[in-house]
Amino acid sequence: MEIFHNLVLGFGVAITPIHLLYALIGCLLGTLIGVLPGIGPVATIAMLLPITFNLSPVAALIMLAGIYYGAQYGGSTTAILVNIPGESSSVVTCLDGYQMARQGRAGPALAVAALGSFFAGCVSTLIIALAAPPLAEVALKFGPSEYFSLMVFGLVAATVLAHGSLIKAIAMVVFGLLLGIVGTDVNSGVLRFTFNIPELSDGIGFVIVAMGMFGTAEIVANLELKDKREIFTKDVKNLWPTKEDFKRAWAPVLRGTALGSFLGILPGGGALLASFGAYTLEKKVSRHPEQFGKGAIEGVAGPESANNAGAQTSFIPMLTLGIPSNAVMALMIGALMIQGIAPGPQVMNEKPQLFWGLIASMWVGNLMLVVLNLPLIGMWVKLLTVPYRYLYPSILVFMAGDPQEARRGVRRRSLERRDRLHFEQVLLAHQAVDDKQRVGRIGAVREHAREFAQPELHEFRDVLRVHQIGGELHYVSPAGAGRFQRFLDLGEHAGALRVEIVAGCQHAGNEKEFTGLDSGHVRVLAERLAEGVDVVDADVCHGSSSP
Amino acid sequence: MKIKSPKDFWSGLMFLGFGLFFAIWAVIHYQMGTAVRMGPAYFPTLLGGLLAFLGLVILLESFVAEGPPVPKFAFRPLILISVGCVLYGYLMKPLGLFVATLALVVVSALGGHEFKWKEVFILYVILMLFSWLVFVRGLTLPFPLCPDFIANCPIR
Repeated sequence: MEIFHNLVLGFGVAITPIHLLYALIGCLLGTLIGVLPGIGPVATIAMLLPITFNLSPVAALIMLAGIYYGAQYGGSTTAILVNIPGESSSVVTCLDGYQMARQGRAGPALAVAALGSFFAGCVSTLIIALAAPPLAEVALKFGPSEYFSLMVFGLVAATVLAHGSLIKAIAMVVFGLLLGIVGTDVNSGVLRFTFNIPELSDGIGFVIVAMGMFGTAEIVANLELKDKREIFTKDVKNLWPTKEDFKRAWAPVLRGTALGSFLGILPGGGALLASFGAYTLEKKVSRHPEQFGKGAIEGVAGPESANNAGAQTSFIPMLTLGIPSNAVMALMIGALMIQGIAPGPQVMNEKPQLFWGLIASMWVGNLMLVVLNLPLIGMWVKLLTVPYRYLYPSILVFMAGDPQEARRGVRRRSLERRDRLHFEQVLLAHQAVDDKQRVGRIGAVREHAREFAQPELHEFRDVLRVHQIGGELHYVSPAGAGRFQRFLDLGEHAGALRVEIVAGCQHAGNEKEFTGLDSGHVRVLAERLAEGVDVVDADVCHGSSSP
Repeated sequence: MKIKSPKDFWSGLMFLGFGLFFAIWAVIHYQMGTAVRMGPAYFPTLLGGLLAFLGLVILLESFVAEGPPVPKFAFRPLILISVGCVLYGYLMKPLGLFVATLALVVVSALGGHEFKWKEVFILYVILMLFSWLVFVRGLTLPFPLCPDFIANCPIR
């Protein structure tokens, strides 16, 4: 049994003390932000991204995943007790959960929500373990056209599944694509829609858009709401549901789990869609739909199981295809990139500890949440009495301080890995550069890499890239620049820089020739250069442009 | 012609505006290229045109179908929170972390229902210490601490 072996491996990773600790931290944090309205998993994970920089990849993912599904648990607590959905995915739980609380049955509602979530968590963990390996195997064969089709499918699915106006959903997708265009054009190197703001040349990061859309927008919305809170904590003594409750709840839990697991996998899906879908489903199949909205336990059990199942199965496309199905997963990909891991089907084979450890930790985390949450409910609810006017400036400070740095962290690491081949043609074309000047600038860039504006870093990246080509040229000629040798670890690869510098000289001022070039031509350029400096056996087959 | 669905009307107008802006800006400033060799203007023009078209459809629909009105705008928090974030960004370099955080906390706190100087000040001190410890000390982010014009900053 392959899967058994894998799960054992996974639990071996997940049950080490340090990973248990991070799972616990993640779950507690997740519950906390789930309880607090106005701060969701997207903002929290975005805030914590830079911190994960210092953790091991497994620990980082375990903690961030804990935040995500912990938030589903926490969100339901406030939905039931206070009629405030702490998380958007528990909006529907308010309908019946709060009514149950008003009837003095807050305890059973909370217990059913927690147990249903736990059951859903177990099942969806199993689903991930079963479904991910074959999916990843298929995904390994994917080429660019398959990935493109998947993206298009994702965008279409996102519009179809969105509730509300279809045409507005499409318009928002197009608008999102337009935001993605801001920055350096990968093909030509032209800066588009940057308005001479250097920070924009690297594009608008996903995290930043998410923070603006979900983070600050939610703060503004919350500030307009006047607080009216009625808290039912005193009724939470009698936790255990009655036999009748169990009888009514088990089928919705099963249905919710199935529906949630399915919707979670779809792009644009995840917890939110799952809970809404499950509520509608329960209302449709119920023999007494008139009870819904008046404290029907099915209306709590179904959506709560569904949102947890959806939260977990949405990991499947991320882990196997490297494609995020929702905002949280996009951030997870960011977390992996910080760690120097390119998400995709190869992760499972190359890093089995990471993959299976994460899956096992989900089960462990769910168990923790059930055990921890029910006794701690009183504490969570007390947190709700913290006035929002203390909370939101703090949230803003976290958000304002972090994301761009998180992105720089990502960039710094990815410099070494999977940067795109892209030549600053225009820059070279407009400036007649001489060797010394250029070398000096490069040295300075490295020295102050952090403070420098992005275009310089781009250039730096190109140099590194060309340095690879140069590496293949076998020391074209030593570039006698003492200065940069100190700052660049290019020492013996100095020839590479030389290649770039010479390229710059040859073509400077000849804009026409430059705009005619694309990334594939850099190879030719290197070839020509190799000729120029008498390198006979230049092996410049390079990257995807190799024949 | 009567607007039957104000919410759709304004959102249509917004999409139309954004779409036209992207498309026109791209056409004016960048090279178009051809479908086979797309220039930098190609994709933005296409997408911008599509967005403008969708906006127009939404806009026209708002004259036909009944729809919800536009709810009251929360101008005060909207403006103050945005201004707070922008100030933070622009003040960071010339004036340093502590001043930028002060601006963010005070301006955004003004956007709330209640504003008490004492509370806001205590909150600021806590957040300032947090930023310093976590961002600068913990994560070693290159935030300047002191204003530029103070030559020999005592805090480092």
